[in-house]
Amino acid sequence: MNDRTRKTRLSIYVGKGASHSWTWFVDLLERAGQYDVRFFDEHDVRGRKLLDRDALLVAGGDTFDLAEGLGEAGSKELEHFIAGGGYYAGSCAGAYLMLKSSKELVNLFNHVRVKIRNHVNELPPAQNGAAKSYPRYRCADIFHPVRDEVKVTFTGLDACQGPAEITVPLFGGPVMVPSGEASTLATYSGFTRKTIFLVNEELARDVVLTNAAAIRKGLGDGMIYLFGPHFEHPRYQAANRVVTRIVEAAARNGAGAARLPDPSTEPASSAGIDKLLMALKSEFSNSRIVAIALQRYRLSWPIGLKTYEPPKILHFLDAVWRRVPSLFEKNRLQDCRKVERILHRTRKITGLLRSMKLQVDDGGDTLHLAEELFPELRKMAARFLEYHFEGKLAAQQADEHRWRSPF
Amino acid sequence: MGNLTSNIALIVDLAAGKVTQEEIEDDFYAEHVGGASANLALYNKYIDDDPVVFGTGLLTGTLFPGAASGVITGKSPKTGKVCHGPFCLYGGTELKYTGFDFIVLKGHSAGPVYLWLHDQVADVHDASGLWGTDTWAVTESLRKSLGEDLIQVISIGEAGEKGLACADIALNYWPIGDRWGFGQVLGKKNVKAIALRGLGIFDLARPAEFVEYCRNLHVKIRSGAISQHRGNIEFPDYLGEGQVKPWIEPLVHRCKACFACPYPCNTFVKYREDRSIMKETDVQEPGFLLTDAAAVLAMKKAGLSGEDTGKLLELSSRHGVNSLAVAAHLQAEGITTYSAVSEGFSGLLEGIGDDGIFPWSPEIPEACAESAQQTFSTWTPPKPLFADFKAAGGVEETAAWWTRRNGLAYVTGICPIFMLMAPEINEESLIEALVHGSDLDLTVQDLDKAVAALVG
Amino acid sequence: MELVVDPLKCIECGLCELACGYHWDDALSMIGASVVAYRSREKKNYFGMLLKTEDSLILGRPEGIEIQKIGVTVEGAEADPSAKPILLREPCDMCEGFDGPLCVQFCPTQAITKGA
Repeated sequence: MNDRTRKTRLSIYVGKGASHSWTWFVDLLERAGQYDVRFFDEHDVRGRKLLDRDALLVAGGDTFDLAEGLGEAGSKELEHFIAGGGYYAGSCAGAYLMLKSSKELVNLFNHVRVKIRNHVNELPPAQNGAAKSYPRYRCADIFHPVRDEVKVTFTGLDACQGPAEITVPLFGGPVMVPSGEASTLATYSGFTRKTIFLVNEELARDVVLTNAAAIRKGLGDGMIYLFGPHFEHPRYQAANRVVTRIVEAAARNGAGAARLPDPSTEPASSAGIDKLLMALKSEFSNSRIVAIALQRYRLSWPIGLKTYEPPKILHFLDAVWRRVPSLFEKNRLQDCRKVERILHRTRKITGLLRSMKLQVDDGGDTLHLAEELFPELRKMAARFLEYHFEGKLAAQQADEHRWRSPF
Repeated sequence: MGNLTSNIALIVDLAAGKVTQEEIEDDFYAEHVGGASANLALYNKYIDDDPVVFGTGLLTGTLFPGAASGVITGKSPKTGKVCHGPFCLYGGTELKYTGFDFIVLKGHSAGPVYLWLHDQVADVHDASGLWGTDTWAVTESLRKSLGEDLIQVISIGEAGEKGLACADIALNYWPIGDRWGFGQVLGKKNVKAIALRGLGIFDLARPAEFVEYCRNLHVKIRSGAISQHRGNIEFPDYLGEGQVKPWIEPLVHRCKACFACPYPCNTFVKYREDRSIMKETDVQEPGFLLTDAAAVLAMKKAGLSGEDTGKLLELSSRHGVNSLAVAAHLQAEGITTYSAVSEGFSGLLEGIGDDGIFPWSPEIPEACAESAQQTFSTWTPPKPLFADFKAAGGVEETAAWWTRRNGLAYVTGICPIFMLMAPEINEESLIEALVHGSDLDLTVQDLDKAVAALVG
Repeated sequence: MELVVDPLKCIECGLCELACGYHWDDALSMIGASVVAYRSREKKNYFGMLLKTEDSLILGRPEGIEIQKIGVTVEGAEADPSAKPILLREPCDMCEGFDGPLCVQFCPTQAITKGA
């Protein structure tokens, strides 16, 4: 396989500080046929697993938790990875992390010394007098003038060819001040009828418009891409194409061959794996059924500095459930050990969810269960999706091999 | 998954504790249409394994008016013949959306089991811990342990476990249209319950046409004969069976419909709480949902008060015993109060016979009863409700009309009671909806054939 | 314009849910519906309706109509501006592309109607 056609070896950050929006990257990559995807938490990043990857994608979440999770060792690994030719693409919290900050821990990651325009010394009054434009983070001087949909205009760089102006969703991401420190890929250029103003419109225009929505900066042989809005959001396909192009460029920049499925994969008897896969499907369904039931309750769990609600449980389970049919495809992977591990974790999740439902019905507190549940959900979804992508990758490579073989 | 179907029958080998999924080809639906006639075909296929079949119609769980019904088909211990009984509320719909059009239970389990059907997965679980509990407790237990209150639970109570001829099947807490002793059938198979949760999706061949057709039919029906009526407690009065409505009305909380039905038939009565309270209170079991007008009528005829009727219907449903048989027993024994039997009700079960198949007055055509004994449940009242079908006349005509309406309902998945109050639903409307929805090349002749398979 | 719910008129037939599910999925399914008939307290015969709009959950219960702002968990507070949406159950869009909201057309009792 030559460099022009080689698929990118990707990684998605799913560790401490990541919210659920990383699954939007998953959808995007799958649509783009990019199947060589690993899912890394903070331990993986610190443990040098980035070294066989071309790119790391970091979506939204809590910037401070991201920084805390990765720590100084993580920061150094990221720097080493990028300088060696890796691509870093971060949106929202994934972008804040790399921007200039004086805050403890976050300042370990000042790899892009671009100013954040929505960072102020004195907070402006919020719309309707409420403090809604300020997140409940440790960083009290970041404010969010607007949320939901905004317009951005590209400034014509190679990686971002396409329509001049597109719409993208903004959920608390940075508004960046253009400077010589980084190239501006796109600027905020307008609002739509779906834009929600969190401060008065005049102030919002002043703070947001003409400032950078997407930037890039070279670091050594690699590149850092930062997006204020969620260009990976599944409803914004034009924005998705920008990310896809960056991902493709990362493969050209990196070196080496695409990853083959783990050599430890053990072939299993068809009956054995079928039984396991049915058990896994059953368990996913069991979890999902309870998660749907919990949606009818008014529940919320303050975990860290974020608030979690029942739909978030379903979000992770649905990301898995939509891909269950692929488990039963003809040329599927047959790795009993991996399936058993996912099944074991899913059983635990079903148990936690059922306990949670019982507790809720009895009027009991469920915070401790939620604190245990969400990390399990994230890990389970990551492990399942990795298995799913391995299967896709194996099938893709088998296909390519067939095309090249004269017989 | 095809249009309006999942194309899958679940075959449960109870002796082996194993499940298999059998693909159902479109040809099968073209030949049998669905519902009871499809059940019957599956019953005959597995006849050597003493099967009982739960199935749905092509229209079950759709937007078609009254599309609520599932059908149970098996050999009735009461008649020795293959009979069919409907189950509505959300039971038929839930079964369909589990991704199984049919369930065939064949053979007998060595020990008590329950089935958990969800997302085209069927799990067979040990039910030793549930054996000996009543239908309400089973429903609660399964909903709690599986974590969802919307799970529909088909279960048997003590009567079914004991293999009594008067044993009925319950759906959640309430009786269904089982007049055939299917509770005994499940009991002998050691099947305590079937829990259903359906989150599936069904394609439509011509979605816009199907939805538009159903919408127009709804508009017509809701402004028609049903518009001035509410609740199944009106049925006996309308049929000239006495003043049931004024007698029970002081207990009525509110009426609600089965799935997709514009007529709120099921009537909730409260006797442990002021019936006018609509807000949620701490009273966990305030009353009972009257799903069977004939049972209410039978209790009144036996001389019970409205309140005692509610309580006795609850007690009967908990024990999974046919309330018509209970009423017949009370009448025979001259018992007219709940308190006279509530204490030792379990002991009473053995003495309850299998009477009560046909509760309506003798002046209701006997031929209709005859027909019912062959095939369909008399949960369905014996005459048109509120509407003029321009068909009822003499004894034989009425019986033929009744049989035809039931046949169409049982085959397509429409509630058979609703079929008696909606003349707007006829062979042509059913076929039009079926063709828009399924794209099968069905005709009225196919419906005729499917109904004929049931009633000869 | 938004939908108005009157739970006291609801007979729990589920037609609104299925019609809404059809609007979103172009097939028969209830999982994605913006409107839900509340049936969880079956033994009590308790009832209600839930409607998801762009920024709120409207809970119609016998006790009255309650409007919850999505993402707001503390009474009187406002939504977290950085909260990312969960894209599983769409907010009601009044059946864009159809001749009026389908739930309204199918509801047999006018428990759900078009507001002013």
